[in-house]
Amino acid sequence: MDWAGFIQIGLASATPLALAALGGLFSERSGIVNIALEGKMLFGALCAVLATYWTGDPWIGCGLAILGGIALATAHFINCQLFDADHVVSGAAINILALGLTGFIVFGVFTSKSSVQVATLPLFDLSNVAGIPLLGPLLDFVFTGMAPLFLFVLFAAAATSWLLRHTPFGLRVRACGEDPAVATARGVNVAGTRFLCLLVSGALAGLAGAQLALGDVGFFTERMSAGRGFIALAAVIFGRWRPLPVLAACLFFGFAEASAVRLKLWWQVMPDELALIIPFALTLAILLVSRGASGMPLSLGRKQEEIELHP
Amino acid sequence: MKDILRQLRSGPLIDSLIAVLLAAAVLSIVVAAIGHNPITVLSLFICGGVGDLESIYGTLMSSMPLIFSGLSLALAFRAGLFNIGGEGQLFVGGFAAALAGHYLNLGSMTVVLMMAVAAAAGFAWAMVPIAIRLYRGAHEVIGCIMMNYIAINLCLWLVRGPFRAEASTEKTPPIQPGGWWPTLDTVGATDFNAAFFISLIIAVLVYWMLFRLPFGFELRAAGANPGAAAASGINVRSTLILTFGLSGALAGLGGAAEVSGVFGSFYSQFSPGYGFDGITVALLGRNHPVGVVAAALLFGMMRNASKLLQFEAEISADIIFLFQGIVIIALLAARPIRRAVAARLAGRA
Amino acid sequence: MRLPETGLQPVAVMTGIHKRFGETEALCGVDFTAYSGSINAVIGENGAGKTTLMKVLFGLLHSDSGDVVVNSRRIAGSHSARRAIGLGIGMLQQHFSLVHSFSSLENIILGCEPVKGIQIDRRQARKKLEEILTELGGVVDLEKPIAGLSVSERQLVEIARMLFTGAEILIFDEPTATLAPQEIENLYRLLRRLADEGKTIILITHRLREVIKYADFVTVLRRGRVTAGFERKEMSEEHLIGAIVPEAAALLAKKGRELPHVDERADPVLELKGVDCTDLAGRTTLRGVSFSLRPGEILGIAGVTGSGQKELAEVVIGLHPPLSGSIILSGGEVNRMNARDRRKLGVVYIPEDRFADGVIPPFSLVLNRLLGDHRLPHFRRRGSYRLNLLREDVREKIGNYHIDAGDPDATLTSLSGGNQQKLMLARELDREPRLIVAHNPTRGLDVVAARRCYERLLELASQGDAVLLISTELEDLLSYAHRIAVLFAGKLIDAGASSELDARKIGLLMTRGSAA
Repeated sequence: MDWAGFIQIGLASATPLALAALGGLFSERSGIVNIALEGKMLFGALCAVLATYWTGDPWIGCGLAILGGIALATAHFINCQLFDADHVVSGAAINILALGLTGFIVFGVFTSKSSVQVATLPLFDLSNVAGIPLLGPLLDFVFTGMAPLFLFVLFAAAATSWLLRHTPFGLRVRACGEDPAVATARGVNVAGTRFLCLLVSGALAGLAGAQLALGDVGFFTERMSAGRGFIALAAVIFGRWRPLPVLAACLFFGFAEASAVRLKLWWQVMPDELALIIPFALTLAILLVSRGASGMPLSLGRKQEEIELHP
Repeated sequence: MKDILRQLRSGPLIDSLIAVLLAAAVLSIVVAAIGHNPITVLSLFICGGVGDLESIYGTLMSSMPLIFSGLSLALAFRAGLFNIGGEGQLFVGGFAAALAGHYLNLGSMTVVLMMAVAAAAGFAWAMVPIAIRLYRGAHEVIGCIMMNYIAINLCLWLVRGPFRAEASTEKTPPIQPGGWWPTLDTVGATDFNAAFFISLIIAVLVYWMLFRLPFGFELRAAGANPGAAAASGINVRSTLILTFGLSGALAGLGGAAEVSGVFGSFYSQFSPGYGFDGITVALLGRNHPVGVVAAALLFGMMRNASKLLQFEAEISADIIFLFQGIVIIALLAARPIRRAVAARLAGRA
Repeated sequence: MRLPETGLQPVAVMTGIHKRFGETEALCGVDFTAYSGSINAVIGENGAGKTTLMKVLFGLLHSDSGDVVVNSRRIAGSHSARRAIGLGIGMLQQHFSLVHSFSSLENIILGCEPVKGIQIDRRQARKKLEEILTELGGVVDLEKPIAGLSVSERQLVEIARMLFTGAEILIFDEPTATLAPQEIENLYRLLRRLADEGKTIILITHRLREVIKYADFVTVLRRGRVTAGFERKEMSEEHLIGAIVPEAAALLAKKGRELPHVDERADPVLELKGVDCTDLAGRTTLRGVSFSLRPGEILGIAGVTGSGQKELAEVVIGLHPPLSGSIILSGGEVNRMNARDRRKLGVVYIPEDRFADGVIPPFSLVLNRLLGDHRLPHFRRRGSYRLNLLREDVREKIGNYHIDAGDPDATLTSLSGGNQQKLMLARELDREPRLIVAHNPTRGLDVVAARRCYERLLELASQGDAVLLISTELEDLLSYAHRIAVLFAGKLIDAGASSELDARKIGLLMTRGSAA
């Protein structure tokens, strides 16, 4: 059993999930439900591939993916905060919009449902370091083959946790999510805070798409996010909206996906479609079994209109 | 009549109209940006949609699954629930209907049996998400999406494997002759099937249930204010469960209608996303059966014309999703904008 | 309004304030001045515009026109809560502005967090707060979540919060509505102290007796306009009532109905025996509650808010099954019976919060009236609803209950709050009930409408209906209930006949659970 390979696949699967989930967490802690992670991921993936196609540099691809995610997140913010729309409906609209945009653009640019192959993001390669006594081989073993964005995810999760608990900004974000009317009465700029959170959310979700497209395969194909955005959302719920547990949930799902791949290799007869079902069935099973969505920010998804009528 | 006039003057209808016009305008710009003439594209749409009798039949038949899907979402929305699982319920409903139609033969009642089986399948498939919502607190959307992926992949595997009809197709074996709704007319390559009228009848039934039956009142009350509904004696939980189940059943019926009216079997590509189209159809139709039928006709026309568009102008059919996304956002924007304008006018009065 | 002779400074001066919400004019050319070192009261009926006026001062609302001058500085149109706090204004809103899951510390520093670098400096905050709390003379565990604090503790946190932000002008919106009499006295003593230290206290209230006792200046608002202003020595109840509701004076002077006689030997309509109740989180909300209610009897339930009033109502209605004990309606045990079936037995419910439990705002008047009766064969014919019959019924109710409404098909939200409340009352009370569970039924009603509401309850009682009257207005309970019982931390303590009680005795039970 190739453990190193297994771990690598698991982490690689977990990385886009974790990026998207952290993005979702930011948005939801500030009170805005975000089911549009899927759409932002998909659009981010396309942006990443396009930018890499045009410039040849996958890091610029990441940059455009971030911008793409931010653009969609801004639309979501405008719907929810300015138009006081139902957050879930807005999220669905963004997903549909992303579906349409990506299908339309990929067909327009590449005249096919998939893009051409582009450069992928580099992985860490510390094989040179292996020469250094003691530390060398360890660093090589741990980091070689790892995606840089995975390291970024670890850092981001820790940073988010610290931010929410120990900074004024974090306190205000939490206040916006628990009781925006109170936050306003304290002089907190609820709209501004939520906007910042959505920017971060969009950036992370777009980056997740970049990782998805450029992390391994190096191309974009229609609907390639395949429900990962929703699994990320489920991870936010399992992790009770706290950064480190959410990260753990994403790792779990990532390794579940790796296991499905392993299972497929081992049990060759297993149909592709059934293997695809595994992550979704697993998510469903956990949702059915877990004790409930506690830890949810109290004012998550509440419309301003409703809050005004009924404080 | 007085009600219709009041409706016209008040918001909802105008919102929908403006949303469609706005989306059309934005789309014209997008289309122009990639080098096509918007007027040409628009005329292709109209031509492909209602240009001749064949297109009209095609549009009506394309609207049919959207009516079911739209009704499914509209019903759920009225109860404050979001049944985004229509696609999955459509698949299991269609698949179950196709199997029932092939293996069971009840003469001319076969088609009715198929509808019943599909409704049951859709109902059952909807139970998982609503149970998760009511007993575990997680939003039904997540459960629905999971069930969608499971349903689609499961049906694809079944139709490519154990239930495959012939080696090179992805269809189930054909249904019995009694499993078809009668064909009313055939022009060119398009059959106009009575299944379309079945969808209209279902729309009438949904209207009657929603606005004339106590259950419909309870459903709407539970959706508008669950606390007040409960205090007045309504069992909110069972109302929501039943509503969501009916919503799933309606989506399942859409699958059955496709099998009994168009394909004659379950075919892996039989839905270009009807379940998701239903979201926009319901929202545009203001969750009212009449509006749903109207919006379904509009999108049916688009779906039908999209083949022509892809062929003649090389524009991907996904442009319809783009249109839908813009329409929904425009609908969301319409209310506050209208409210702000009204307040400004009132202030001046 | 005459200028005071004692040389107090006008600290906040509002002139010509206009504010309109859609069709309604909430404030119409209002002038208001608050003086330093005093308790400035703003009184008036529900909906008179008091809260709106203060929200303008605090920056939560923008006036359409008019000037606001604070400490001789004119506030431009870009006012906001943030600016108000910066100018030294603090507001304690009617429904507390505290985040439930935060601790007291977090609640207080929210918006003005002391920092060390980019991190919150909790130690500094705690130090400053402990000083403030000692000065206020109260003790609060700063780390405990707010949800675990009592009402008066929460109020203390709110006051500490205002002082923490350096407020010199403190606005209190109905602070005593949820307090027991002794706690009210404590609060006013504190307010007096703060005023003597030079702070400006602005007090919104509808409790005239408190105003007469404690306020230095009074401004009276009626339907968005200032109708009078008084100084301490000019105040009396007649003057104030006359300024608030001129036509009420005559009505209120007229003596109301007598309490109907209760037949002691009749079988009780409602009995509770040893009822225990817990909430979803497992906390006990009712402990061993027992009482019986006879036909024609009005039992008043007093208690500090959060002592189990809502839970008591819901367990009687059938929204919440009891953990143990029994509920007996007209002789039969109904523990397992749901709300719908209890309604069929003649139980009606007037909830405290109509938006949460009583009405459906986006529905029409007709549909709101139908709620609860929507399964009655009487309103159905040939598979559909008899809408014209319902419209007639609504028009009748509009007349009988003096509801200001025209079209039965209009949306409920087109009615003012008071009229919505009246429609809800009409719907429930016209149902020929046997048991009426009323929780603060006069909420949102003006003095005249409130009187009419109680008259209707008395009328129904005299016909043999039983009334469970849960209320935070002790004066109403003393006037209209035969007997009063007090809820204290989930336990029900029988206080006795209302004729032998006064506010002080009830207050002791509310705060200490015993009469000593």
